[in-house]
Amino acid sequence: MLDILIIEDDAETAAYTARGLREDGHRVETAANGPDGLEAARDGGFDVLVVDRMLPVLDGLSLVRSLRAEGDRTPVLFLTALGSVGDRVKGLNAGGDDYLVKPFAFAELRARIEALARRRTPVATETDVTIGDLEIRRLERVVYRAGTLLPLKPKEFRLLEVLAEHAGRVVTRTMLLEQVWDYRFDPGTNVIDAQISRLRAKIDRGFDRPLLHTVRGVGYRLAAD
Amino acid sequence: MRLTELLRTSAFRLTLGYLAVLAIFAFAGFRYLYSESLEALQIESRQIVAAELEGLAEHYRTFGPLRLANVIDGRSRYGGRSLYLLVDRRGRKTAGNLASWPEAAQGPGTWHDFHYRRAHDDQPPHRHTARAYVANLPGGFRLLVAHDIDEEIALSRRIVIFGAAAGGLIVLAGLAAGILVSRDLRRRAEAVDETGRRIMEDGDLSRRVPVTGRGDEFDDLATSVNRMLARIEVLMAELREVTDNIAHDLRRPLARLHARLEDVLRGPAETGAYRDALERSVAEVRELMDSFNTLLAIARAESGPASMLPVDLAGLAEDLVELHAPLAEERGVALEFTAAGPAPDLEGQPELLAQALSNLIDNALKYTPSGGRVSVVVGPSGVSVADSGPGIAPEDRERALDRFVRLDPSRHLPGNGLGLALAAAAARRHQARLVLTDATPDQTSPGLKASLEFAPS
Repeated sequence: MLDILIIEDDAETAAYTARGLREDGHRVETAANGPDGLEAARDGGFDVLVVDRMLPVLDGLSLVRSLRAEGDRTPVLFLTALGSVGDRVKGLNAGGDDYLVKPFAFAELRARIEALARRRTPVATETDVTIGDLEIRRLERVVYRAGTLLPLKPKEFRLLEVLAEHAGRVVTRTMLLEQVWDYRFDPGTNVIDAQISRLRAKIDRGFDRPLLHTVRGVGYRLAAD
Repeated sequence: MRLTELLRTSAFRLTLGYLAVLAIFAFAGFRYLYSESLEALQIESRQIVAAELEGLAEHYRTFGPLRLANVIDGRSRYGGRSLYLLVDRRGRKTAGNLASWPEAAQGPGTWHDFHYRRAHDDQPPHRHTARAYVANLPGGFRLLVAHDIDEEIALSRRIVIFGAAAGGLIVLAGLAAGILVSRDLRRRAEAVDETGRRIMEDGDLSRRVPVTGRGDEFDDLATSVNRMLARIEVLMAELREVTDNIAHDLRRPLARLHARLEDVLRGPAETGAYRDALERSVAEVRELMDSFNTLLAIARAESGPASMLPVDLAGLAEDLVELHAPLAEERGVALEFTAAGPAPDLEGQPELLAQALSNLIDNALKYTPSGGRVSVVVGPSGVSVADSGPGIAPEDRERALDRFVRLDPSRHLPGNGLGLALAAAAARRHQARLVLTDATPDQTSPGLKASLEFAPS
């Protein structure tokens, strides 16, 4: 369970988002303008802040800048209608950790919130990651499954690494594009699906229990269950 | 042009200021010249008077009053411009050519100007001015020697008149020039002003400021304003086109979505049917949003400033080929990357170029049948993507770059018809061209070669 603060002036978007996240079992608070949001965030205790960039009275960028200036490092996900490269850079420079352009699919938001919250746990920085009988050695950049060395190309290793950093949770196609290839556009037809198929052929083929799962309509999940 | 209008023009005000400064300096210079020449004239007459007085006084001291009177009478008869008067202690005239002691010349040891009447050249006597010096002689005699300074006065008067006339002429000429210059400058400034006002009135950006062809600063200004107007006109036209297109292009899918939802509502209230319709609608909305975002990306690529970064075209192409490789493999298409020589040195927007190139590769993979090949080549002129698909007929190539154009009439392949349009916009953004040609012209399936050709920098 995560404590999430949504600072969003569009009441309907805020309500839908909050309801969806509560159904997932998270605790959600909402604020409808900048000053209220800043006050709520200062009270602390949140795992993730979801901040709209354009807010009444105090805009999202200034709000996050203030928080960061006060030493608050709570992960921030910016929501915005501004999707250009420059807008994204501004958001990240202000102290945002991720950036989601409206309109978005709820599953995308959920996956990113969970990824941000997870960033605070040490999993993402461990040098060796083990998922079931899959062993990823990040320093040597090699992967073993049940003791057998898997021949992965560099980009395939990076793809597996990103999935492993979010092990047990859904990683969306756009998150993979951003984190593995550093692309913020949609390259179109099924490129990620094909990449995953190839990776799956290397790590799951010939084993009884698959580790790389497809979450229909959302993305992929690496897990031992 | 009325006086108030004239006074408001900067050219005339500058002229007035210039004239004022000129007048002050000219006047100061003239005054100096005048007093200097007056001084020179006075020195001459004073020296004459002083010398004569000195001589006569000496004569008196040596020979006494009678001989002095004789000398004075002699000199008086001589005429000329010198005046003499010797009076005794009772004030009676002893000798000289002045009838009486002038009122204005009393005390000794200083200069006196006085008027007297005098006849000469058979004309009736008229008033003259003379400069006198008085000496008290021993024995109560008083001697006055004077010099007629009429010529001196006339000369100085002429200098003043000449100076005033010259000054007046300069001011008049200056004012006239000021008026002419102001009129001309004002007329030319008004031409710019007029164009601007009319554009604001009717919004017609095709108006231009007249250029006289004299090549002066006003022509420079007019040319620069005209260039700006031309640029604004182009930008406005583009903006209008983009908004028109977006409005037009999004109307159709929105109408379709609307129709579908209404259709489901009219039908039986079944959860299954609702669910199915909603899922399809959500998918359609997503596609709509993708189209919308791509249209915005095209619009952004076509206008507005952007930060320019160095672009590694070869690296970018190689990464994209790697990204698409598994997909190509699934479809049984050989996807190859070749570096045919060094890529051009580029400054630009790497993400926009990546998206453009990604669209080209995606397109090529889409239209290439299984067993075919797609080759991405980076060379000195840019990057090209060649496939072994059906190609595009020459007459359709230009149209293929427009928004929402899908040449495949069956539309059995997914896509929104914006891929090539975005690639073309990205090319324009980088002063490059998107060129479509046959990949293998001689074969039955000519294929398509889409090249991003960069202008040599």
